[in-house]
Amino acid sequence: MRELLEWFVQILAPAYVVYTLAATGSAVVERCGVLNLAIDGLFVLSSSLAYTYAVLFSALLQGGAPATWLSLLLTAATVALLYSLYTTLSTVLPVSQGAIGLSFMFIGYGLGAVVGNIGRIAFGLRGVRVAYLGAGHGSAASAYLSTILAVTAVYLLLYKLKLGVMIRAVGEDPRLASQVGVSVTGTRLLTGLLGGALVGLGGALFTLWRVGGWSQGQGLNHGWLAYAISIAGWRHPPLVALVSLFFSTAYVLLPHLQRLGLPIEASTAAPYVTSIAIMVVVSSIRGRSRLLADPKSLGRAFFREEQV
Amino acid sequence: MFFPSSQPVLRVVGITKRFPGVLALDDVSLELYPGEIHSLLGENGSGKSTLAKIMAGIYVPDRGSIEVSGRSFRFLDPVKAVSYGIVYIPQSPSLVERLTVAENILIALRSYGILSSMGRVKEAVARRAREMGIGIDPEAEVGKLSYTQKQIVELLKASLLDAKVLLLDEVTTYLPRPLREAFYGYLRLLRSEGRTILLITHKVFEAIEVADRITVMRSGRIVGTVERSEFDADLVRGLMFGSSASLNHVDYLPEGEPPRGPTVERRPVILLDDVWAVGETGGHALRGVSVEVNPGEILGVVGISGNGQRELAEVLVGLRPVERGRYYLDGIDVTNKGAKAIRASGVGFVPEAPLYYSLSGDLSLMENLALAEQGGGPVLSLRPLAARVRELIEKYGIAAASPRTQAKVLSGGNVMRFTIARELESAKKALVALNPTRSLDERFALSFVKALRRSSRLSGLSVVYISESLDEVLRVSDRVAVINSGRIVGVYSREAAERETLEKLMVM
Repeated sequence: MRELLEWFVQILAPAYVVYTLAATGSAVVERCGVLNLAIDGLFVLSSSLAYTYAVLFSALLQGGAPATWLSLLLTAATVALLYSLYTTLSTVLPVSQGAIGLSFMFIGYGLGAVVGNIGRIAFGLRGVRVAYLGAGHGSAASAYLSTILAVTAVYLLLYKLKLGVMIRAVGEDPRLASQVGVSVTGTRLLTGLLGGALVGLGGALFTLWRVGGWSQGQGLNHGWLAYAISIAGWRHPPLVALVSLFFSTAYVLLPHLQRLGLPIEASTAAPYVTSIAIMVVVSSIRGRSRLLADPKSLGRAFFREEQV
Repeated sequence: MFFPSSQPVLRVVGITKRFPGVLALDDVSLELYPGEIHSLLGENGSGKSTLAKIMAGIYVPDRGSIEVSGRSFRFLDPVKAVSYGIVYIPQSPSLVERLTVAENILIALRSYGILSSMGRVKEAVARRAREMGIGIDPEAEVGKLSYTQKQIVELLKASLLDAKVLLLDEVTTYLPRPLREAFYGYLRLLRSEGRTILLITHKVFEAIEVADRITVMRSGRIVGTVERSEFDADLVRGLMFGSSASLNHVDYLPEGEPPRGPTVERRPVILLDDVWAVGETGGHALRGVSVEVNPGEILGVVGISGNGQRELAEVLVGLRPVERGRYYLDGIDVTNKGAKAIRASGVGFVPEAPLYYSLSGDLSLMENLALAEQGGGPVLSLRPLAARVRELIEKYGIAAASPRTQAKVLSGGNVMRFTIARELESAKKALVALNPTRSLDERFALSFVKALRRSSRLSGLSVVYISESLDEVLRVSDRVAVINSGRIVGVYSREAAERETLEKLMVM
């Protein structure tokens, strides 16, 4: 029994860390009122970027841990920049956020394929697993711990600091916030940086830890799984981290259902079906407290001057 | 005589601002000096708020410039305005409902960096509230406060903002008397610290009581500035109303009792019995509303914005489900029967934002008329339809090029006229109006009100007239109901309705 539990904690760790970080990032982005339709594309891009950065730096630095860390850092930074561009454009362009979000999603898919293939062609397909993250009880424990710390930090920022209040104000009522002097564009830019960095870290760890390599189309749909977690956790970081535990367990275990005789199509679809079901149930719950309610202006175009 | 001791702290020059269909400001110039309480006085719609919003960077003027701290701008934006110490406090509290009192104040405070903690501001808010003698919990959720409490939060916020120029837009409108006096005292304190206050009001006595100078506006122009030594209520009133003073009288509206047919009993056309409905943000927006509207009667429903008016209108026209209670139309139970059925039984709807509720901006006027018609089958007969729209255009004075004009190219006022035309012509039994005159100029607003009274007197139309303007409701209604927190808290016949009682019920 004890062994089974240890095994479970080990195999769950990569999935849990990846989805929790990406879902927390998505929650932050949506808290400022930007509908995060870009997530799947940018998750795919993160996962490709991490691979190419990793193989590039391990060639330059003759391998080793520094290459992996650099790759993690740079992926997070690149995706953070892209996300801030996304949240900024969603604010300043008077077009539907849906159009911009889907554009970024497709740009992410496209760039992801290009970036990944550059790495593959230049350095070949290689394993890029983070050596000391992959094995031993200590590494799993420290991964859980640092994820929880990150989530706690995001929670404190959102609910205990002025920046967090600004983010939530802008997500609730951007025109009102701008009238008291909050820069809607500036706030959303910062939110994009923060949320984007988390999504980027998630996507990078997906490649560097969960998969340990790269293949065509890697990461596809996993961004949506993270999105489902952020919605089911009502975009509240600690709750997201909790909900992520259930989801990650499902994602890790459901594919094993094949062994019990379930057709492969059904077991592959299982995580997505579960996500949709849980998301529908959770978002139909009414009368949530103010901290858990959907941001009022989520997905709405922002016009500074009143429409008369 | 007022001798400015220094340079003006804020000056606007030659400001002109046009909204679709109205010239809101026409070449307006005004100077504000350090350490004065300056009152901007004028009727509703005279352009006071527009001017203040331009000073605060909320609106962009079409022409003119704004000078602040010796620099001239063509326009400001709110962030820049706040950075120059210009703070605008609007009439209806502009607070984010789902944030707490302290959070709402924190986002407005520039002296706090983006990484400052909530704890610090909570202390500051609590301290200032104590100084001002205000009892308010910094951690209370704003959406759960009453209107008056929200207003107090705004004042608390203004006092913490360290503003150089404070633009107060009708902020004392619904404040109870003792609080208002405490507030005036606080304004004097701010003035003694060298700050400038622009007190926007339509109450002559208020301006005279606290201001050092009064500037009077009428129809988008400044008609005069009076110094404290020359204050005189009649003089000011004369400036304010000019020759249009007579417009404010109501006596030429069609009078008379609603028709009472020879029928055996009078049955209410609209009957709501203990109706509960859920609002936009969850929670009950209507909490047991019961009202009756008799044939040919106009029931005015007045209340401060956000007390369930919109939900009431939506329930009446079938756009919002009733959770509990019954809704009868002419004795027939139509609870949750849906908008189509209710419309088919002859209920019209004049909403505050027609392009949101009842017109499609991309469709032509003809098509919009056809949409609202019941029956007639799937094929449109275009020619008669066009003829009917042309008739409406003529009869209601709608500025539209042709029946094929898209609704969205009309000005806000004309969109409203078309809606009113369509609904008045098609409503057989009852009409629900929600803030209908907001986008109308005074003249058409008045002719709409007259048309309503005519329809109710002559053809027995029952009307539910929902508005935030007490004056308007008193002018149009046979009976007045006050709505507060989703409940009807009082119903008075027009004769028995006293302004003060109603105001008290509105803010209770």
